[in-house]
Formats: sequence, C-alpha cells, structure tokens
Amino acid sequence: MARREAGHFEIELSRATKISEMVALGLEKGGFDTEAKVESYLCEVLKRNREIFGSCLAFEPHGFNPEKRWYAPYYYWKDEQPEFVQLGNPGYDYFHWEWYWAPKESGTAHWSEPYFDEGGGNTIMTTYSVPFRRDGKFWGIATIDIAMSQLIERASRIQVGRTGYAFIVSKQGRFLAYADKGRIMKSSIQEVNPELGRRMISGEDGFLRTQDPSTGRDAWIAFVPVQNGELSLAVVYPESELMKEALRQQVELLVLGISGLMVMFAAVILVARSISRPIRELAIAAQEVAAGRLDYKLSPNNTTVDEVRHLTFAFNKMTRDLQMRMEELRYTTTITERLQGELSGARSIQMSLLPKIFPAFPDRPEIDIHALIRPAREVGGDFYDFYFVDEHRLCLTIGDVSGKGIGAALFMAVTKTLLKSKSSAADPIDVIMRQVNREICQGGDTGMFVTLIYALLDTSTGRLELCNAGHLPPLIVTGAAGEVTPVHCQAGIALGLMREADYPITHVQLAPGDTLVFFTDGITEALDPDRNFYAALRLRASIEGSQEMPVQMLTRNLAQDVRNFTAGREQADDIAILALRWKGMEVETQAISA
Amino acid sequence: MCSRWRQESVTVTAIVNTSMQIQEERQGDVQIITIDDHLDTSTATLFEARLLGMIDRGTRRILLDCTALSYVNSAGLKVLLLATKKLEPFHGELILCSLSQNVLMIFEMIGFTRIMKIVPDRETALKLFTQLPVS
Repeated sequence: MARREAGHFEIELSRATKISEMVALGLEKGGFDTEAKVESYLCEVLKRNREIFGSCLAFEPHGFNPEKRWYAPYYYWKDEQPEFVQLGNPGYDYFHWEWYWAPKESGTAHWSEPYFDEGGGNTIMTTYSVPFRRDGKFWGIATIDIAMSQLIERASRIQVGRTGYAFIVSKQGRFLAYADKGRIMKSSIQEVNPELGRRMISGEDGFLRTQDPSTGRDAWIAFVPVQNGELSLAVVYPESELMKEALRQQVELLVLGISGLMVMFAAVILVARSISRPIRELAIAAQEVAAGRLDYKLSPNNTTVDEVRHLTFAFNKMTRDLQMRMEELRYTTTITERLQGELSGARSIQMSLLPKIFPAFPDRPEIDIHALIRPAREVGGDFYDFYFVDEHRLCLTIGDVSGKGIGAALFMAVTKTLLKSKSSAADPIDVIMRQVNREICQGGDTGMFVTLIYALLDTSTGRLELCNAGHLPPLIVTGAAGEVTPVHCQAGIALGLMREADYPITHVQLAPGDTLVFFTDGITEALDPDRNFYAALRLRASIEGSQEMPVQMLTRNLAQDVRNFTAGREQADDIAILALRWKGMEVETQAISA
Repeated sequence: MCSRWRQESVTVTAIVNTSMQIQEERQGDVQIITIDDHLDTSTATLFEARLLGMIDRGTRRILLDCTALSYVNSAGLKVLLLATKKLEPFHGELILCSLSQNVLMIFEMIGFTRIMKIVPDRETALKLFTQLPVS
C-alpha cells in the first residue's frame, strides 16, 4: 500500500520535473537573446502547466546581461493570474541560496527541502532546480515550484484500517504530511522516533515494528522512498488493529472453515444415509427373508441411487421367485404325498383283494396251497385267486394284465371280480371265460388285455379242468423224483382282445402228491445284469425235486431265486406265483379216520 | 390325404435307450417302423408315443418290421393292440413282418396271431398293402 501511494507521488512529481528540464533544455538551445523573450517564454511555460506554482530562470552573475549582476525572472500564480517578479537584488543575493548552488555544484537536478512559502503561495512548496549550460559552461538554474498541498492532502486522506494513517517526511526528516497538523514543517521524524527516522531518511524502504510516532502505541510501519529518496512515505498500522484485523480474519476463517466443514459433513451424512439406509433396510429384509418371511417387500422409491434401487428390485424379484418356488414345491410335495398316499391306499386295497392268509384251508388236509405276489411298483397287474365253488371244487386263477401301475391294477380288480362273480358250480368254465371275455371287451379301446389261467380242481378226485387265455401254462412237480412237466393245454386268446373267442377246456388228472405251479411272465422274463432271461428252463430247474418241500417254501425259494438272478437290477415286471399240492383223497380219508 | 406322404423314403432314427432303437422310413403311403431288441415295459411307453402319435398325425398304413426284435411282453403287446384299435375306425392297417421265432411264440401264446396281421417279410407286407383298399 505504501508503495502504491509512493507511486502516485512519483508520477505527480516527475511530471513537474519534466517541465523544468524542458525549460532548461529550451534555454540551452538558444534563441533567447533578449530579456523580453526569456520572460515571455517563462510566462508561457507557467500558463501551459497549471499544476506548477511558479517557475524561475536564475542566471549566473552577469550571465545574461553583462550589465546586470542578478537576472532571475520569476513567474508565479497569483489570484489565478501569472505574476512576474525579478528575484535578484542586493537583498536577495540568490547565488547563496541552496536551490541555486546545490544543483550548480553537483551539476544535476536538485530537490529543495520543502518549505513554507509565505510570499505568494502560502503553502508548503518544494523547488526542483535543474542546471543549464551555454557553450558547455554553467549558465544558470531553471526552477519549478511545486505546491505540495495536493500531495499532503492526498497523504492525509490515506486511511489505513480504522485508526491507521500515512505520513510523509522530507529528506531531512521534517513532517510534510502528518496526522498532527501542528507538527508539519516544525518537527522531524528523528525527534519522535530516531530509528524510524534514520531509516526513512536514508532512503530505504522497509517494514518496521515500532512505536507509532503520533500516539506512541505499538504499530507496524511500512515506509518507502519517493522521488529518489527526496521524500519518504510511511504507512502506520496500529498493531492492535492489525491484530484485531488478523484476529477478525482468523475468526472469519475459522467460522467459515467450521461452517464449511459442517455443511460438508452434513452433506456426507446425507449422501451416506441415502445410500446406507436402503442397504440397511435390505439387510433387515434379508434377515426377515432368512427367517422365512418371504412376503417381505422393499420399496424401491426409498433411494435415488440407481445401483441400490437395482439391488432393491433384484431383492424383491428374488423373494418373489423364492416365494413362488416354495409354493410350487409345497404344492408338488402335497400332490406327491397325496399320490403316494393314494397309491399305498390302492396297494392295500389291491392286496386285500388277494387271499393272503395261509394256510388258506386248514380244514382241507388234501390240499396245500400257497401264493405270493411281488408287484414291480406299488400296484401291479398280476393277480391270483382261489376259492371253493362247492364242497369239493376249488377254483384257481392266476392272471397278468398288460401294463403296470394304476390302470393295470384297476383292470386286474375288474377282471378278478368278474371271474369270481361269474364262477359257479353250475356253469362249465369255458362258458364262464367267454362271458368274462365279452364283458372285458366292452371296456373299450384301452388296449388292455389280460392273460390268465382259470382252473377248477376237484379235490376229491384230483381232476383238473383249466382254460388258458394266452397265459404261460402251469408246471406240475410230480413223481418221487419231483420231475417238472408243463401242462400241455390248448391256448385261448387273452381276455379283452377279441369279443367272440373260445377258451377250450384242458383236462388233467393229478396224482396224489403232485404240485401245480402257476406263475406269471415276471418270473421267466426276469433279466439278469447281462440281459439274459430267467427263462422256463431255469424255472423248471428251480422247482425240480421240490415234491416234499412245503409249498410256501417252494414259492418263496422260487421268488428268492429270481431275485438272486436279477442281482439288484430293478424288478421289471410283476411276479406272481401260486403253488398247489394235491395230496389225494387218501390223506383226507386218513385225516378223517384219525 | 396321403399324397403329402407319397414321397421318397425318409429315415429318422431315435435311440430310445440301450435296449431299443426305433427307425422310421416311408415307402409310398406306408410308414415302415423298424424296432429291435426288447419291446417291454421300459421301452413300451416311448414306442407307444411314437406309434400313436403317428396315427394321430394321419398315418393309416403302418408296417412294423420286427426282424431285430428279440422279445416282447404284455406291455409291448398292449401298444400294438391299442394301435390296431385306433386304426380300426379309419380302416387303417398295422401289419407286422419278419417276427423271430421267439416273438412269434409269445404272440401265438397270447393269441395275438389271431388278431393281428402278421406276414413273413416286408415284400409280402407291402404287397398286402397294395391289395387293400385305399383309405
């Protein structure tokens, strides 16, 4: 600031200096041979430069006019008019004045110490003197008087802070502009503050923490030379105020900083919350879902952050899908369980249709009978049945419905029931078969058919009548060696294939001790891991020599042998075995007689 | 109706599982199906879908070549019976040819030889088809 102000002063003063240098140059060029010419030129200079107070051309003794010791025309402003005065006279022998001899001696321009002019200006003035020459010889001095009032006023207007100020001192330290007007021109800086004074006068610029020259308080003073050190401008800044200012700025900064931090913090919290809140909600939701509350929904409008919203959407979709899958699973499980339940119900019904209590006829010593069934699934299409149609005649049935599963089971139940209901002691078995076949054929085009053997054994005589509807013929274990022979029977067509079909009766006479073995193709067509059939040959070998074996052992052994043969392979078809041993009437007679 | 099918023979092979292959080929309006190995419970379901699906799509003349068929059980026979019954209202025909001794025995035992048209070989079967009235 001090430097900026000094700059202003420099500019103003240097303008003035230019004028006197110009005047001096004008004189040196010559052409001013008469006093009148010199004076009119001087007057012209003054008129053209309103900012200067006065201008003088002071010549050496007898320098201009050999007859005149003094010749120093001086023009100055008086009441807005250029006024002329001849300075030199015996009373004002200007050659001894500083403004004259100083530049003469040094040969360079000179600034006079400011002074209070009482003659015309009544103001503080400074004189700028420039020597001029003629033919290389010193000829005189051109001066310009500059009123310093403007500078002083300007300096006094400088306001530093609230109580700070600026002041100007001359080269000798006298106050030109000062807060205390009474001290101007009368007092010097050295008297008030010697250290500051010394440094200011020496033409330095600097910055000093010292006492305020006017108040004695601590102050920061910046000083800078003006016009090559002719003047020195100082700016006083009271420390208290400086500190206050600094403090104020500090506080302001602090407040600004803190409030800025707070705003930032708030913003960060806000942003963090807007992100973290939905995520927190997601976490809660995840726990809820994990606890099984699949209907827990998140609002996607809770956030403006796209990623979080997408996450929310994805989460909701996940729970929705999960819920759907769970319901599907629950439904499927329910259905499966129900089906399973129904299947096992069907199985127990189907099994209940078959006689399963053995020995079946404890009061009939002439016969031993045993049967077993092994459906490949819960329910199957194989079946057997036996019952007495009158006192002596035992009806035997074994059948195999095409296909497996529920359909086969139903068809089997129908067939078995039909057979039993049609069975009577009165009708021949081929008639019964034809009737049953017709009934079954009415069932429509389900493609279902059943192969079966329907047999009637007179337990008193051992006479066996049988009808074969496309079934595998039974085997007879006979003789002391337990030889196995198939029953050669005339084959009829399977039931359900053709509406008008005949089922010729085959007659067989059993010998006492003969064992009849009925079976279904689940036995002969059981496959081993190498896909070989169990086959009739193996079946015959299995039961050969079993004439003494209890029938239940025969059937079980046979079933076990088949199971061993398949060696863990899934049972492909239903298996049914029915074994009947006729012991002959003698046994009966013996039992009765006993 | 059958003109669409009077084209060069097309062969489609589907491997049902290790125990059976179904090959389809067309000769005139006769759809020839070749099956092999076992037609039993495990293969019957798929064979049924193929055979009945064919009838549903309008095929009326089917020749089942059983040259390579070694075994058939009641589940397989059920499919043949079902196909025959399905063709009846359309006056369609299912003819079986080249049955092995073993298979023929099963057919005979159950009585299928009495309800199904069974011929010794393809030629006989195709000739038989030409003698039948066009459905």
